[in-house]
Amino acid sequence: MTLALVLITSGLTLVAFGHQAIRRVSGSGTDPRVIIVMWLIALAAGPGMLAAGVAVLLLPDHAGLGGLLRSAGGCLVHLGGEVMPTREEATGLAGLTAIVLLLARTVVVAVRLTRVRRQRLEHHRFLVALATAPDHPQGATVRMLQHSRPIAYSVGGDGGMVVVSRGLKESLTPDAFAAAVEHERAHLKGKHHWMLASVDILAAALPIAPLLREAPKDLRVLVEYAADTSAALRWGGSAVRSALLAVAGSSVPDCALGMAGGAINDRLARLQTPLRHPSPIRRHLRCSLAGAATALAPLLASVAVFLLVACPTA
Amino acid sequence: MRGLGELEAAVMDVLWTSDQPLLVRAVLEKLTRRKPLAYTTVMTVLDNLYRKGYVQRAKSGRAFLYEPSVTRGQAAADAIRQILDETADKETALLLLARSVSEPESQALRHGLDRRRRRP
Repeated sequence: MTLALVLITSGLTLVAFGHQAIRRVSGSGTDPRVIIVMWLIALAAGPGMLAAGVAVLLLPDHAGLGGLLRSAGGCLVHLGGEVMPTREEATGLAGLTAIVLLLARTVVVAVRLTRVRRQRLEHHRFLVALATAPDHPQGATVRMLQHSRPIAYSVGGDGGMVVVSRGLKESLTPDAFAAAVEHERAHLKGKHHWMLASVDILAAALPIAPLLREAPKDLRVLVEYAADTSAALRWGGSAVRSALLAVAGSSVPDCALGMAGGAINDRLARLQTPLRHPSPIRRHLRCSLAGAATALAPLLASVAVFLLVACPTA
Repeated sequence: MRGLGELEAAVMDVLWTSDQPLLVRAVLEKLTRRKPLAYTTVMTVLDNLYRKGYVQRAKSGRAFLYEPSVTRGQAAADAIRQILDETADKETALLLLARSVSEPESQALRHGLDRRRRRP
């Protein structure tokens, strides 16, 4: 019972307050990729812990687990020791029913949103292929629209594509233009379209959970930060700033991600500070640590609370 | 070739390069030189293009003969215009809209915005 309570409390804490915690710990200088990892871990761990808690409640011999904890942690099982098994099972079954209903709702929303998104995406790919056909072979990743307005965006899905315009190329130095293309390539490489489509589904299916509801808004800005960082590491911050200023007035198609994606002022400010080049190992280490901390923090906090409640004199 | 959208464009390319209307099977044969495809896939794509108004068809026995209903140049220009519409400066468009609405419409907009502010 205690293990289940710890898991359920941790899951609920993450789902209710995870977004606030992530925003608090992520300062303006933090690598956006680290914050993205924290969001993704929180989105997976929150519901995951809730489901695991319910599963533990339903385990036929979870008294064995409790016994294990009792011998290891002394008074951890104090809370659950006296509870009638039938009540535990009833709680578990109620939890299971809730999870099944929520999962079913998520699947229905996912099917509906994915269908609409795919139709838009394919129609857009059709338009881009028609508009750029004379200059580009089928399957090219970077497509150039023959138009004077500066445009830069990327379309995800199977073999994504980067769409830029002649106007963008002509209004920028070669480095700044390359930075714009690199920014869009970073969206494709980071699978940002897929990531945002997934969090959109979660937010639409379960808007009652603050973490899930807030995720799309924050992640939309974070993927732009991350793509800016990738482009700046290769072509320099000022090249990305020029590209950003060139596209600042335009919008991005609904089914795409683009340089003019949002938070332009914040991004311009970020790009003014020089970027450090973290080694890949250090970056992976940082992401792993941040991810582990996101999942472990609520668990440790719950265990601490239970220890305090169960053993006030300890 | 990637995805349905590009397949549609490839089918249009086949129809534009042909000097006569084509059966599904003929389109399939010309496409298959690049990538093996199912007959039904090409039939679905041609049906999509017909619904979107890019091709016209005429009965020939039990099958349909397909030909483009727009030229390549028209289709490209129209595609660029549609993409530009999607990447238009939405802020300017909204300002123009705000200036052009009538008083009741403006009240309805204000009401909607107020409700949104209360429930962000």
